[in-house]
Amino acid sequence: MSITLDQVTKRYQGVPVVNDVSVEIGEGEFFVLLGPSGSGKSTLLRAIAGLTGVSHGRIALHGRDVTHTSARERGVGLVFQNYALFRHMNVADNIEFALRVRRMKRADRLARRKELLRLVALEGMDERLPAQLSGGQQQRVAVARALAHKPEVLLLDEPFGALDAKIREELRRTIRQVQRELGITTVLVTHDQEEAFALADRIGVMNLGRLLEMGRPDELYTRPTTRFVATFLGAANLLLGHQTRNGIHFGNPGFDGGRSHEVVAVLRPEEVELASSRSALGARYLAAGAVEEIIFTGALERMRVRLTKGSDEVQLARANNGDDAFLEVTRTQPEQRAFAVKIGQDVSVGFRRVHVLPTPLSSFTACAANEADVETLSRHPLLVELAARMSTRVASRVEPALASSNMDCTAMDRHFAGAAVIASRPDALKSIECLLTRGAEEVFVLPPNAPSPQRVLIHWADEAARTATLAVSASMLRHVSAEAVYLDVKPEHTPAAERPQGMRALLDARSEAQAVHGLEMRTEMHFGDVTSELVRRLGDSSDQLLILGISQIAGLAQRFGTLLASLPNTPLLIVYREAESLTEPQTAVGMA
Amino acid sequence: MSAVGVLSKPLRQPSVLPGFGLTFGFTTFFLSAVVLLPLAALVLMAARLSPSEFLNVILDPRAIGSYRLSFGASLLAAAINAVFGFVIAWTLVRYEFPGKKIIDALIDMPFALPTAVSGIALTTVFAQNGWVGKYLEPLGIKVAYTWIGVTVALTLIGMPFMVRTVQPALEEVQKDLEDAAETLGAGRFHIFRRIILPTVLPALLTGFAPSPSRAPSASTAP
Repeated sequence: MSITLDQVTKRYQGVPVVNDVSVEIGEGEFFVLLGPSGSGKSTLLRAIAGLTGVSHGRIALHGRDVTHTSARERGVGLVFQNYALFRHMNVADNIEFALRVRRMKRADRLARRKELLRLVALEGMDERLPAQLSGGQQQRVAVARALAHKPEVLLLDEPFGALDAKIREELRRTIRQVQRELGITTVLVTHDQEEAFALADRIGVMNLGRLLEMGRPDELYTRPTTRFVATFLGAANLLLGHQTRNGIHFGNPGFDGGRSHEVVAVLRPEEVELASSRSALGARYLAAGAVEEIIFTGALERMRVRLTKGSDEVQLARANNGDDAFLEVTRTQPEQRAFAVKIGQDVSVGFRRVHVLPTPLSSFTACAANEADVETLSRHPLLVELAARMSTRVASRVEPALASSNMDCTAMDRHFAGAAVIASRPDALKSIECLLTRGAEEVFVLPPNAPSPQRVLIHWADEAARTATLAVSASMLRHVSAEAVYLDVKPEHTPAAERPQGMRALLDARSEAQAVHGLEMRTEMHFGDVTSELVRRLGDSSDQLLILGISQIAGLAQRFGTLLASLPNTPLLIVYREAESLTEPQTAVGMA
Repeated sequence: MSAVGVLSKPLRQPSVLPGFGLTFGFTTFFLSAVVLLPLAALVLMAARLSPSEFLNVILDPRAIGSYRLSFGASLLAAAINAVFGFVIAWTLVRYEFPGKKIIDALIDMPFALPTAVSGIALTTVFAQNGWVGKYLEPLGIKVAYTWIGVTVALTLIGMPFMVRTVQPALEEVQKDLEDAAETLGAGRFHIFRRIILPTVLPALLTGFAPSPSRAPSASTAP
């Protein structure tokens, strides 16, 4: 492996900017780190270059641990967005800088300089000063300078950011060519997905300091596993659907008696088909709508189609705005010719292909005993923030049964979509029990004024809930910039002989989180009583969140009564999966 | 044809600056009255002396002593300022620390104080019975009324000039340049000598240059 990052974390004033990033980049690979500004991608690149220290984790270049090696001795080539050329030196001196530092002989320097200038197509420019060159040429000089000392890896920090479109494309081609010719392992940081697609062998998408997903560009585009990647790489409509044994349904679930499960589906704008009527559709029918906006972009036509409200209403998994349920649509020229539309025209919408995200947290449903409480709860800042970041919706549900101290759970509707959210109260445990028995799989208990968590503590009380808890944790942690810590608690009197076994289980959990759910987490093992250890750990600071996995509802009060009572200000997400129904998590790719 | 051409052009084109003639005359008058007249008087006074008398006056040992003191001390002070002014500017540009704004403002203090005031302040500190002077006296170091005192005074007065000229130049040396040099294998000293110094040198010289010319006037301070 050319570059190995192992759980690299960088904190600024306690806030993780790069959060537990592990990645292996192969020899000669062109790896693109893609993410919005502030996602930590540049910091990560600087950490690889050695210009920024890491708070935690390990960095290795070609198997050599360089975590504590200075930038000087790492021998990487770095190219900056603003070129960072030495303005008082001419092109030749700039390129030879690294060679002079290494006291290379004059003749060798000259030969190397000529070779590099040919490589970046700047022959004969030796004597120019940077100020006499165009932006594109300056960046070429910067690339040549970074390659002069034959670095093991080439790092590029938004190298095209300051250039206009045409030069950008030209330089992009040059860089790709140089990289192929030299076979040098390259990491490029960008926020431009088009650039990433054009250059990358493999793309790693970062958001909020986490490396969310990695893969070949086409893989990431067609089969993303997270909402963020689905919407960041190209346009995407996120729909809430119901996965049943018979396939995926959109709109109101026609209960066929079987258990249905709410899922988030990605519908790419180019997979939407429009027709004059339902029967004229070649693809599966989704909904009726009206064309709201048409933008002609040359090769493609971009449209927004407003979905008609009705009984077969399709739920868009967007934050709380039932009013503007728009569907993004793009159509090619042949499609436009086959069925021309005007603004305001009623159309039938069909879909050719959808991709179901394997995320277990599809949406939130705020539950309370009366209208006013539901309203307050659904405006809870943390819930609103989470829903916005997950670009999902918060539904409301009034459950009068939750009011009475003697709750009659059987009066509750059996069908639950997404995670149920309730306000933290002294008798919350009773509500949790109620919701879980009536079919909710996740219950999110929110204390008033809970801040955005800095740390998420993960613990499962029953081994059977492990996979589900990890899946939910991964889903949650993609959307908050918090660090994840898995806490295992063993009885205090665990014999020394059994401790290594516990350690192994801990490492297994970590590798499962990493391999199956793409979640990087740290692990801690404590010895003692579960409740008191959790309370002690969560008592550290107020900005933590606890994800608790269980597989039994019975005896909830005995097991966790004290825990809840001791932590009235900690948000708690309970993940419940029945022990016997524990099967593989939903990873199916739903095809229409 | 040519006559028509001349006539069609107005003799005096209205200036883009209204009242230019008035302001220009005003400026020239005051320049003459305040600067040129005294200078002319100086030349006239000198011209009254015969060449040999003139030479006698300017080569008088006391006069030469004063040149040496003025220019020597000012050059020494400028050299001290080049080093410490640079360090101060560097600290102000590169580091964040509590009270940074206050220190930044304090740099200009010698500018703001009348020279007489700073002279009295320095005397209070460095006189034989002053705060610092009384500890230096037993060591045989006399500061006030010696060339050391002059140098100290000039350093104090020249410091803001140096800091304020170097500061913007340092702000312009992007951190990226140093980072680039570091990844290319350059050590700290190399980076300073090859990257930072060449970029800041013009500013450093600008801060250095006026000190000898300020010297004769500033030496009145202590």
